[in-house]
Amino acid sequence: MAEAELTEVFDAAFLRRLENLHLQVRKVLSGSLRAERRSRKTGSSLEFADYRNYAPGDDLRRVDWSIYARIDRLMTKLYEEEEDLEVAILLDASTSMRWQADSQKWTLARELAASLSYLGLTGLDRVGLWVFDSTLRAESGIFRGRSDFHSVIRFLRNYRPDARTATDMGESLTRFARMKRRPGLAIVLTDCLDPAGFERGFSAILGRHFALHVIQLMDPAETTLGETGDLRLRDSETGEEIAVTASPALLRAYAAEVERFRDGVKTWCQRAGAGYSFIDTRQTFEDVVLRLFRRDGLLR
Amino acid sequence: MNFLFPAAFFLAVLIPAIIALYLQRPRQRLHEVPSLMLWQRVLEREPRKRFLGRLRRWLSLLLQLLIFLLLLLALARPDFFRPQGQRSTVIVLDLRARMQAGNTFFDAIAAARQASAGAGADEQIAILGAAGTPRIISPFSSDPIQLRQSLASLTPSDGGGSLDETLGLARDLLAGRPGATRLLVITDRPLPENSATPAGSAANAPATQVILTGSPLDNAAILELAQAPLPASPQSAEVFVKVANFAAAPRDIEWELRLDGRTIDLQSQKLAPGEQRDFSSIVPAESLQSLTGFLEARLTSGDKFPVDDTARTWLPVQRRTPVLLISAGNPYLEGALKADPSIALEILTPDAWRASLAASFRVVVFDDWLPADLTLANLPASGVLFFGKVPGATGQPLPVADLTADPRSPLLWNVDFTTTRFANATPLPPAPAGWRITPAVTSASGPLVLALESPEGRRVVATAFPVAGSNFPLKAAFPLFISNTVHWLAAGPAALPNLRAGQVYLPAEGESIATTPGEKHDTWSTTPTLLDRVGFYERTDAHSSSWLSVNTADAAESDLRAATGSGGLLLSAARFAGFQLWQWLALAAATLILLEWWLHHRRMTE
Repeated sequence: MAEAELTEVFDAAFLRRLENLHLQVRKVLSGSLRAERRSRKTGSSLEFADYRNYAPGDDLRRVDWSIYARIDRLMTKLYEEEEDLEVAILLDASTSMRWQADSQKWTLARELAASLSYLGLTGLDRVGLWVFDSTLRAESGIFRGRSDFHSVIRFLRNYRPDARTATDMGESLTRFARMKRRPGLAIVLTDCLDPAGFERGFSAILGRHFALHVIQLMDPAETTLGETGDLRLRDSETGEEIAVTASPALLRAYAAEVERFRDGVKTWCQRAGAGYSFIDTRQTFEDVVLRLFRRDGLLR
Repeated sequence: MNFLFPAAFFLAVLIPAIIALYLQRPRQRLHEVPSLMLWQRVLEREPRKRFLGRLRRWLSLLLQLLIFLLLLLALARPDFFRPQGQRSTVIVLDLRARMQAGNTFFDAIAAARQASAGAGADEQIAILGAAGTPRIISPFSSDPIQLRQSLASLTPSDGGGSLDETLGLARDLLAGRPGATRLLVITDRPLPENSATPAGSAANAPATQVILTGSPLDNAAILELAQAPLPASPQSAEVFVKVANFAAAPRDIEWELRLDGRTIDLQSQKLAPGEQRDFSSIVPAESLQSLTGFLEARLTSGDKFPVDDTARTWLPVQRRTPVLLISAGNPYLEGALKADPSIALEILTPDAWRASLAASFRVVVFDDWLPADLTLANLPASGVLFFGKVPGATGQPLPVADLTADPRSPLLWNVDFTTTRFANATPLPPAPAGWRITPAVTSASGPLVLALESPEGRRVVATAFPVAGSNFPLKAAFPLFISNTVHWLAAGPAALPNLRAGQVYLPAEGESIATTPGEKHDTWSTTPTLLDRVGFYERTDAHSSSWLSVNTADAAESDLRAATGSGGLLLSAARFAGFQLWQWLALAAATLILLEWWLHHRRMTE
């Protein structure tokens, strides 16, 4: 997809609406630079955090003189330190995300990654993008400030996935988690179709005290075959084939299995304290960003 | 179990071809999915469905082979119930007019088709039609297709009659056949006792089975239509119509009389159930002078048996009769001839007479004058009236006394001679040998008025008195006598008797008759011709043309209350229940084809 195509959804009006949104983190995390996000540290922002006894060297401007008048003790007011946050956007680029030429999963995932990056950049957070399939494939580096948005777009545009790659979320996301020394917000855009399971990878991220939000994308064409009869089904990632007689009953059973799988991912995320959004690629990009993410607590 | 067409089993060689075609069916189609992960979970969860899925592939082949085998059996036409050995069947199909009522004939044909379908190698079937006279519709055949084709264009007659002659023929045909014999009669009511089991029937008489079709119906009919000259006005016609109500309840019946398609009378009467009543009407002479004479009586209300709703007869065309009067001047005779509007009179004086002139006239009147060379042997072809002088009369005039008039003579309708006085009369000469002589008026001295007819049909009237030799011209009877005489001499085509449909017409020598009714016909017959359809048939001979009317005119055909068939619905049910085994097999094959089609489109088979 050309850069122009990727950015054409970000017209001026849409970006103005995005600027009214902010990434929401369920956990209170700490960063290294001043930004618009509260941290566990106390600091110089206007947000009152606590009191402590005065110690020599404290800034006298922070002594609460009204307390001193009432209890005759010097107390120093503590303020929350507003720090920046690292927003890590992990994009699944396995073949299942782009299994058909006209599949919208890959396109929508990249648009969402760009959009979430923009929100992070406008919130003065540090934004990084990682692409994974069977392992971590690419890392964009850290971007900061709105002016880096074009770098985000360029990264997404220039990434060329391999023709056929399997998914190994456990390996990929564990590697990501090990690289991170400070927690942040991790947003994973994936279809979760990993035969080995998604749980290990997500647990690794959560184990590093990241706030995790899983965005699961599925295409309607995945829930139905669109044809019946004797078929050979080929796995887009591994090339493995199985023979099935696709009767209406079997198709119904498969659709129920897809639904069960979705519910399984959602339930796991809820229990683990992670955010979860399910996106049907028939939904419009604007609808996902402006309505769905707010509903699911990713944006405010 | 017998097979009527065992050669069909040779088609079993196609079974390997079916299997080969099945094995050549399109292989599994490749379909790429994002991941097999969820599919494998489904298949692991439902191994039973995987087994059924494999079974379904073979189910398709099994169904196709079963369909083929059923069709093969149907073609072989198995018959569990047919007795062993040779059989002969004659189907007598009632073709009388009554079978036209409602769906009776349709059901009868269906029953005949069903019965003829049983023809095969061991059963020969013949079909006879019965409509007064027997008709061979199909000779003995074992080919059901030929038998069905012979029934295809069959229509019932418009006439009635008895089945006895046809039943007799059928029994004669079966008497010489080997093996079991069967007589199957398809009609609308039970056979009379003597028809079903004729007296003196042999012990090996065929088993007789009657299939009844149709159902009782109410019907109104015109049973007769006749016409005759009106005595008071012979040029007018009096029409008689017999109307019948064959219904279970009293009924208002209206009928109209139509002449050449124009309604000239309309009458209505309430008739009791089963009542037959006569009506009459007059067709005035004026109506007949410019028309062709096609007279029809027609019921205005239709019913399910229309063939008897109309009766027809033909009135002889009465055009103006050209008459030539040879007279030196006779105001009485001229006046009497001019008084009749149906006479076109031309007058010549004796000196202008030439024999060739007579050819243009239907009647020549010689008024007390004779051409010198005229004899009874060389008379003109037209009718001739001699007044006063008659060829060959040589006697002296004699006094007239003791008149006697023949009231049956056509010359004397409404003519009274009792007050007529004659001065004298010349004895009339003897007629040539072979002529028919009818004295109309005689006196003590001999005949005064003679009507003569030659063997060739030439007519002559001779009077022994001149017009001026009596007071007859002064009487009112004189113009009547002149008119009667001229019309008898003109002797136009006589009205032919009406015939009933189904009768055979025997044309006379030199006569021919159209083989189809109506004014448009292409074929003529000079041999005995079956007149099976109602209508007007034209007949011609060397001298004239006239029309013969044919009507159903049979109360036995019109009275449909006696039909005892079960009606179309029950017959249809019986036909359904009476399916041949091969038809059931074909039906089962068709059902399996539908089932296979349904399963295939639901992807349950491949």
